[in-house]
Amino acid sequence: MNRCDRYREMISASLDHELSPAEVESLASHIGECRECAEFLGSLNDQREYFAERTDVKMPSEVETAILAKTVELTENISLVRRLFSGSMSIPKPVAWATAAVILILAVWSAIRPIAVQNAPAGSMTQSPDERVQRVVITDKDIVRTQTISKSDNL
Amino acid sequence: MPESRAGEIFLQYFQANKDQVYEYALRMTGSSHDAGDISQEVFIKLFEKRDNLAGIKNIKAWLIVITRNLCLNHLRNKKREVPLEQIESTMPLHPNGDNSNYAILEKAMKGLKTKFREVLILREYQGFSYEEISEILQTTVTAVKSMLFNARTQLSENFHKINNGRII
Repeated sequence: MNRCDRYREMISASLDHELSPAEVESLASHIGECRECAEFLGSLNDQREYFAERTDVKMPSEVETAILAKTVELTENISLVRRLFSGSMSIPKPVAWATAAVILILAVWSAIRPIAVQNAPAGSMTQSPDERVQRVVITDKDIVRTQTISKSDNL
Repeated sequence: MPESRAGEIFLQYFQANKDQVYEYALRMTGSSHDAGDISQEVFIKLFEKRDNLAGIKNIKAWLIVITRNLCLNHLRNKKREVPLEQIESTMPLHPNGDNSNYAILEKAMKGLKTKFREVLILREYQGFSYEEISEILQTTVTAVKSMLFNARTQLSENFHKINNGRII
């Protein structure tokens, strides 16, 4: 970094009032004798003025509404869970009993089902006596065909 | 909305900082749609932390750090380094018309590298001090000073190129 570069960095910092009094004095003295650095100061001052022409940016109302709606949704979800666990929200008794019964049936069924499948005869894929299965039939003319029969029929 | 004191504090922070977060995202991404999405994500993160907001020392800087990270991810995904020649002004923010010095400055800003653009946004639009900028960018005050100098020099060059009709 040459001497002027160092002063130009100081010019940039001077716009933000980030120089010590000694630096301000040194910079002022340099600008007095360096035309290029004086021009650089002028261009940065212009820049600062142009920035000041901007209009304020506001968050659009639809974005604001969407954010607040989302927070309401989150609040409602949280409070629903809290109410359920704290017991302050009651579920009607018939609904509670029906739900409990369904859960119990599903639990028993899912516990029994693997045992039933395990105990089924080898090759048997049927679960119900009325389920219909297909078997291969060889007729007297050695024609192979399939036949659908009920398991309750004589296999 | 506020179900509690924490909810009320969230609302206060939201009202006090929403425009600044949105402006930062808008100037970084150049898209009002993306700025809206990013702002929403930022404030939902703030809302989710609403019970622990007392632990955040500088909420304004914290929000800008979150916004900045989301913007940088967004820019990385979209690879939005726009060449100066292709810049079209997308922000209707020119009170004195499209040929005003400010409109040209804005175009010149868009031609800057992301790191230069963001340091100027933080300083010129958002008014953060060097100390705050160094915290947001996780660097030293000396580095901030140097970055601002380089950004302003580059901006000045871009401005003169555009203004002298070399590009438009």
